[in-house]
Amino acid sequence: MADFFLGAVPLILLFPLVGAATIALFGPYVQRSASAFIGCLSIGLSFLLTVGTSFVIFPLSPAQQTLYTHSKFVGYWAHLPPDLIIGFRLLIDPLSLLWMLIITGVGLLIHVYSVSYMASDKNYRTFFAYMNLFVFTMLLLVMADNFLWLLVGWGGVGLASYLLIGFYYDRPVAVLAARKALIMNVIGDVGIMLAMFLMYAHVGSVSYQNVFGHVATIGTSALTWIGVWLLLGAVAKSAQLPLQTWLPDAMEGPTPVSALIHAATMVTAGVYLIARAHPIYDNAPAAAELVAVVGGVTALFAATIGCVQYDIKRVLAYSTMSQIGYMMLAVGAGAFAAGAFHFMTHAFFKALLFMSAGIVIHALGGEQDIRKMGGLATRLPFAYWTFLVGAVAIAGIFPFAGFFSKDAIIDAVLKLHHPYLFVFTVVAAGLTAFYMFRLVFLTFLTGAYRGDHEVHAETERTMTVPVAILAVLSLIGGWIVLPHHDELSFLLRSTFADAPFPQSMADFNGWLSFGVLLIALAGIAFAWVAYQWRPQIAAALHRSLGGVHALLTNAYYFDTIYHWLFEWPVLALAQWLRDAFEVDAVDALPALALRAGAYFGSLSNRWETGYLRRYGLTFVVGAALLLFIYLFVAHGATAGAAP
Amino acid sequence: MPDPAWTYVLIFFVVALVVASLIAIVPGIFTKKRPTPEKLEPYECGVPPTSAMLGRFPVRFYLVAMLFVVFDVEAASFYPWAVRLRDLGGFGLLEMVAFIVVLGIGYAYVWKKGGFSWR
Amino acid sequence: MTIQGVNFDFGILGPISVLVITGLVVLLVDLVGRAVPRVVLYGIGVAGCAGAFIALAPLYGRSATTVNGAFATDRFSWGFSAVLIFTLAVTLLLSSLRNADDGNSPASYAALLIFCTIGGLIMAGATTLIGIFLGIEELSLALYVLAGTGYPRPASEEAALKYVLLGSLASGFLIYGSALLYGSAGSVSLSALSAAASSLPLLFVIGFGLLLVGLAFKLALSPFHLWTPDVYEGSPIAITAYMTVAVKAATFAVLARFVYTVFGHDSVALVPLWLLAIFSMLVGSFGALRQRNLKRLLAYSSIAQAGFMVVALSGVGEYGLSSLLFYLVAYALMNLGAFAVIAMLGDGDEAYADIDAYRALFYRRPWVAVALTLFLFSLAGIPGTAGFYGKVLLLEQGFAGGPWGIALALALIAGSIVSIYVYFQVVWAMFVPQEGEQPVTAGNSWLTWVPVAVGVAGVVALGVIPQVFVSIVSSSM
Repeated sequence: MADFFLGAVPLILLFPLVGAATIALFGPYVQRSASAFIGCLSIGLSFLLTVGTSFVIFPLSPAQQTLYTHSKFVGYWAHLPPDLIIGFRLLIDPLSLLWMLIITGVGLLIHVYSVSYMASDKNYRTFFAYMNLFVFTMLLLVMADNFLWLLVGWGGVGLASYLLIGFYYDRPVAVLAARKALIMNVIGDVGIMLAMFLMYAHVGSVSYQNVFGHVATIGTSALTWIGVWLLLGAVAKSAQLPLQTWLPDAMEGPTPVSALIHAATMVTAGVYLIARAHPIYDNAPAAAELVAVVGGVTALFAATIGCVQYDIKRVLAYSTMSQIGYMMLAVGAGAFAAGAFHFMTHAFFKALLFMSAGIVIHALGGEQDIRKMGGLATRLPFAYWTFLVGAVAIAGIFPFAGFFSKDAIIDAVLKLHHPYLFVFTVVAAGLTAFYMFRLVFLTFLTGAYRGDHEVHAETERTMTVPVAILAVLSLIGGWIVLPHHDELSFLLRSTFADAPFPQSMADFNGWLSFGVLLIALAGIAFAWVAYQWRPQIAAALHRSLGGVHALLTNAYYFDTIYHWLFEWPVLALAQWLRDAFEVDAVDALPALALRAGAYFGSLSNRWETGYLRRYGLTFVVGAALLLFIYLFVAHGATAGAAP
Repeated sequence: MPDPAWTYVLIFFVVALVVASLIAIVPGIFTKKRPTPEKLEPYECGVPPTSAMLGRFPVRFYLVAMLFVVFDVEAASFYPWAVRLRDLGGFGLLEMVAFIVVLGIGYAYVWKKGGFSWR
Repeated sequence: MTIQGVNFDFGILGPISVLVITGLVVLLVDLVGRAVPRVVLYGIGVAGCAGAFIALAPLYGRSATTVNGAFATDRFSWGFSAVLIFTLAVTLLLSSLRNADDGNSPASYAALLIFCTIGGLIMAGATTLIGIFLGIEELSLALYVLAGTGYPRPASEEAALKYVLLGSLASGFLIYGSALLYGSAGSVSLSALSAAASSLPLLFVIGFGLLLVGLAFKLALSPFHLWTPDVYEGSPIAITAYMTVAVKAATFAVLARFVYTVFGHDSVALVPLWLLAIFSMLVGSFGALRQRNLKRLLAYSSIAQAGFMVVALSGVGEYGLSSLLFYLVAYALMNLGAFAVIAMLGDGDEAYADIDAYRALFYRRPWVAVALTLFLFSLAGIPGTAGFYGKVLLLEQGFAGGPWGIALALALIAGSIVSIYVYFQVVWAMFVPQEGEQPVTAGNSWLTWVPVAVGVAGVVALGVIPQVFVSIVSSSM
């Protein structure tokens, strides 16, 4: 059985690709439901194989779990003489398996959910093709055994994300958002490329094994630069400061996309990258600290913005940003297992939150503004209860999943002796509880329904079952790390064996957990006071803190700043160049080049008269010239060399 | 490095080109042209041609010529083969049989397709 | 077995023997049967190709000679032979489209194609000047006739005449060069020539120069390329497809064998070859710019592509041969694919030779348009296709090949840039919507889908997982 699953590892990657290709090629010839079925089936098969492989790999001893013991060597992808050798190997180690489990598992649930959520869309088949493509590229990203293939997956998920954000291509906002996401992500791709160039310059290889094996020989300053460039990639993909502005806009995509790509999986690729490259960060403390600072600041920054947004998906987007900030903080602090743990629990409850919100949006015919909701608890009880579970989990209330993972991170930050970051995380924890329950109250409770759409019932089984499963996981998902019985860092122990920071989350700091729990409860209480018990308090706050409110509503004016800092100068320069140069110089140059080329071409063509005598003459003259070159150059050289 | 000896060849080449061009061009510039019917004749002595110089033959002749070449080659290779047949032995015989079979199939094909009919 | 001092290994001669028998069987079947459908005759031919492949398979990676060292299976022959046989099969499939009553006898057509390929196989395996010349002549003589089989079109007859006249001229150079080489070395075997190549006596240099002229004619290297556009345009489409690939494959086998066994290292005697290649890349790429006829455009492109392939030999490096072969396989797939599309759209006719016929093709025949786009992308060297990785390998050889290698690599880059414009004109035409009346496209049989599908699969596979094929190619050596 073990051999079967280890042998079938390439299939995990292959199924989604085949699924995407099948739907793309044959979709138009089969029924809509068939393409949905293919989409779900391919992910389901991948998930089953991943689970089987996990049962093979996880029980092994650490020595048998290292990077290459069970990786599947597929073949060399390129061997360019003299020394650039790039292999293609499917990495199977605990860290990649954890990500694969979430990608295929949560991916499967979201695929099933999409079957009814997207049912009325005219591009139903395309949607499943894109989603399968996404799962394939994301799996490629985590199963890659070198940075080149990681980058291929990295770019691939960027492409899938671009396609899916812009899925409603007839909405200009969606197209703009897709373009923005792509541009931001390409900045990150460049960062990874620069890191790869440095690796190749110092090690002569970009494979994990060679790079991590030669970390000691690279030298701290180069290593720090590698770390910083990798971080640039991570920051762009994971929507961390300062490349965070694309994520809220990405909510223009369909809700299942937001759940899968922009909450559960793709945006955590940055966390995966840092955790995977941990030997680099272990030996480059400055780069690691930068990771932690970026994560900590983003966690707080995004949480503050989340408190004032009115679009239900945007609140969740900022919450995602903030929670990934936690993960980045954890991996920056060296607590890689804690970061991976939070990734897992976050995938459960954030996917849950998005999908519950999706049920609401679906029921309200596409309405996303929480000011036009309210009182939905009685009309959409299933959405209400599942959303509540998600909110409780993300707020970090015992015994839900978020409590354990967030606690592990805050505990690690405390050990880091970095007071600002510690304060940030604790404040962000309180704010998280506040804005999530603000959402709960405004959407489901607080008076009567304020919208003008008709509320449809929430009956589709394919939508409710995945949400229910995720709700259960959001409750029990954290129990894998119970006090004094830390399964997760035990499972991941081989990957992070050489990390200096203690990975175990078993030494439970009771007072700290209790304190954070109290802060979270305070946040919930404040939300209750301000939005449920005395709504006028919120209104009063809004009035008295108008400036702050505007600042937060506009996300600290990052878009505006970027507009005036980058977009406007470039556009202005471009306009000026167009007026001043383009017509006369730039346009003229290609035209000139074309005319020159055409002239050369016509020389060649005009010689081609069609007359045989011309051809024969050219032939003979050419031969004569060639012989003359021989006599003059080739023979002359040897004759001159050896007289 | 070019061999200096070949430089003379280059010089010769250029000089020959220049002289030949001059001989062709200069008279055309300086002479006066006073054509008479006698001067315009292709030969100043001899008989003027009465028909086109390039005669046209029916394509059949070429066909026959090609077939002749094929069998001529066959005969030509028979001759040395026959002389050395004893030394070549059985393999030599087989070899020639294979050759004739290939040729024979071609021959039969051409025959069947009407390659030998005069019309 | 050894007979009378001549050793024979019918394993090594297997592919040739199979094809000889196939050719004769085709003729006999037509002779015996009454009005045998062309599909049957071409089917026998394709079956013969399969047989030749089966005979070729055991020779993979083997290195041996037969006929007293005059014919070899080795790193120069295997891959090129495989490409030749593949090209023959594709050409037979494409020919099945041709109009049934165009005045040609299908049996002689198929037999000539098969004999032509045998000539190519002899070229790939011959290790003596005589063997090489015999192979070239067998290939050429059959092609002269085949070029004229587009019978009712005067252009086809013109093509055949031009090809035969200029080809004879080239043959003259070839045989004169061979004679001089024999004179300089006292032997016709290539291994004996390598001694002369190290000291470069005058006789050898002139002989090699004349031989090179002949080979350059076959490869359509500029300035010996002038026949190419006319002949490619005039010949029937399937024959044009065959000529662009098979003649190149066979001639490159000869050239590579010459460069590696006779010289074995970068020699000053190869400088004219590099110059021809640079000139070809520029003339071919620029010459294609203004072509409105797709067959002519691909003719110019094939001139440039021949120049590209020479880059693989620059510096006579260790990996040069495998790079050349990889590119040749890629070229066979993409070029045959492109011709298959042209043939398919015009149903074997010339209706789809003009670029204007491709306007808005995507909206009429999306799959065909996408396939042709893929082939043209590959020819232009867009990443993700076979052509891209092939060019990467070529450039690798070029930049490792000394000053001439770098010059060749730069010419390759320049040629590729120009050729992108060339190919994208066609792509552009296919994807721009157009109002009004549209040319009719043929219904076409599934037979022509086979080469297109094989081409698409191959171009994608070679582009996405290149090393698999590079190692297959390298292990054949």
